[in-house]
Amino acid sequence: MRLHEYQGKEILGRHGIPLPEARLAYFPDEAWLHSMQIGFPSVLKAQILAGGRGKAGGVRLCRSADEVRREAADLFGRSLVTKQTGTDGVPVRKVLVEKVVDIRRELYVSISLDRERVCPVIVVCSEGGTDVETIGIAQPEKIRKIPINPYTGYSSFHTREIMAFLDLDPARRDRIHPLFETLYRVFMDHECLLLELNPLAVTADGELVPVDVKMDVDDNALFRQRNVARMRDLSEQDMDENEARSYGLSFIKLPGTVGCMVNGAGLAMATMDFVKMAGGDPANFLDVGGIATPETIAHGFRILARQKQIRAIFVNIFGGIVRCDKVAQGIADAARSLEITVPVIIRLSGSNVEEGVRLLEESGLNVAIVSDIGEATRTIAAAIAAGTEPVQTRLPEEEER
Amino acid sequence: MAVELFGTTRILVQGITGREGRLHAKLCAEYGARIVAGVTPGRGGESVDGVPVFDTVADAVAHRAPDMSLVFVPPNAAADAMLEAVFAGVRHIVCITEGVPVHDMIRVKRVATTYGATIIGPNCPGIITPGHAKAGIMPGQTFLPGHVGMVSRSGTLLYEAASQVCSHGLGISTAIGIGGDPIIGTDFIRWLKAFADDPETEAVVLIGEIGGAMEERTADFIRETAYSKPLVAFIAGQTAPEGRRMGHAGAIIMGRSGSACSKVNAFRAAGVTVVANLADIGTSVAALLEERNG
Repeated sequence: MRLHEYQGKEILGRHGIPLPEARLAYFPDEAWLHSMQIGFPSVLKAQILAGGRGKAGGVRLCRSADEVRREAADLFGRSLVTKQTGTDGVPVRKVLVEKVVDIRRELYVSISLDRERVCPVIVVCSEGGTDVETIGIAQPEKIRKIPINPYTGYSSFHTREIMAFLDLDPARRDRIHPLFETLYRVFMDHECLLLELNPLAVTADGELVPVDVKMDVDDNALFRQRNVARMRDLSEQDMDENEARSYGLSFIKLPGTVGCMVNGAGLAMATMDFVKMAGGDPANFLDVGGIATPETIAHGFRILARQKQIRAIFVNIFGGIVRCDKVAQGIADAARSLEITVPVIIRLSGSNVEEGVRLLEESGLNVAIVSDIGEATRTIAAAIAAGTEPVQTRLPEEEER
Repeated sequence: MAVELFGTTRILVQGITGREGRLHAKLCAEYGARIVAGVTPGRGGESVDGVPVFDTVADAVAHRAPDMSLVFVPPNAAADAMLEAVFAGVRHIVCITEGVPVHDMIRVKRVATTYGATIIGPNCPGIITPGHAKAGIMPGQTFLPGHVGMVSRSGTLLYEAASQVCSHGLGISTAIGIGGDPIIGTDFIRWLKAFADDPETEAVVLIGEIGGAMEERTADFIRETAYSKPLVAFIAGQTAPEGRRMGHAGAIIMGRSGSACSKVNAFRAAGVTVVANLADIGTSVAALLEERNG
């Protein structure tokens, strides 16, 4: 679960890490009011979860109250389109008003988990505020990765290594060591996947101050990270994706036109790739999971069928624990209450396939049933070729969302 | 022969009194696996479908000497269950559970490594040696006995690949689902080494996906050791967007790292046959074996 910048800073602030003075605004006048209390120059930062905010015009420097009034009015209600959002972008609903930090140097610091070494790793870079990945390729000598043994934790020698590498003033060791020690503790205590300070500013008086904070907490740990779980911002996330999650389905929208419903994450990804190879573009990722029931299948199918851009639906089920007849039952139940005008191709294989096929045939639904993936290739290619006009899936009035 | 799991392997099921645990313990036994004990805290002394239940893994080990533990414990207690098995001396642990916190797995994996225990999973379908035994949730009838080794990060994609391979008149020596999480107990290299030493295995199918760098490391291993057996690889997630977790906790492209393209290129450079289209896995394996044997 990604946290907003202001949420990450709130957590760091609670642990005593020095931060620039900042306040959160929910509407333009509030931003104006905050800026006058904070003083100028101040910066308005759109609080969206998607990365690439700066390039999309989501950060505005203001030198006066008038400028804040103007920029805040423009920022609120605008949708920011970044490389991580769809083409519609994400509407700005919250803006952080922050005092501009007098930056002498920009550093990069992150903590993440190293899959190969099986431990947390601190990554520092002597150049912050930019794309550290690009630096990593062009000038790897500017980046240092420091694995931390999770049993012994963060220790003084780590600070010495970091300070020497970043060429920080040794006289400030007593301020800098607690900062890194705290960052490590926050990362571990909140079960983060990522805690990134980019940039971490070195101010005129030698203080280290995080200017931007990214925090990503393990979704699987939210059952015991209650304080973090409460911070989830559903307003920015897609309604269909939220609804799917509430049924235990994993649904991600994509720009294409072929809707996909699959059991299992790997097969779901492979099915998207397969649609692409058959000449189409996947409209979504949808994994109905390993223990899907007719009810969850029906929910998934309904969510899929109401996606307006869809011109064909491909259901790819390899029955194992999820039996084909249960899947067929779910689809038949959902489809009966929908008026589906796009071609539906259903591939059923594995356990109880005969029963599943019989159920679908008896349902009277206009679906193409195929038994192997090779056969599906031809059927999908034909459906894509035939569907030159976007055919919309019409929903009956009473269909509840 | 096969790897790791045999008809004689004595299997313990942790969480045997739960719905999933009970169902799959029964299905594994019906397939031919020797389910010798179950563990559910507070339910010691009971029996489930004729299998004795113990309160602790230590009790189960003392009375029934299992070689392997199959874990169906919910995610909030799965790490504890795995640690209990490791400390009780169980050498092979298969954890089916999806949703184990990744910080838990850091601890479990480091301890397992120290104690010499092998963990398959979590978030995996388990392991099957067709015709002999299965310890997992895969549909047994999809896997026919034969000489192709399979190892996959994904469950259903493993079934799909197995089904295609078997439809070409081939069969499988052992198939392992290593799991879709970022931190998993065993990697591709661990199983490639096992398959290299297994006389029953003539070729190996690797099924990877986006996220992490396991495939790239595996490609290095294949090249550096001049791996002896023919390899076919498939990578899922060519069309996955950057920065989103695709169902599996471990399946995420972050910036430039973890892309399907990088993995495909790494395998190709190591001389592995990479199948581009999902529908062609079986055909590719059959063609490769024919070329080699014919």
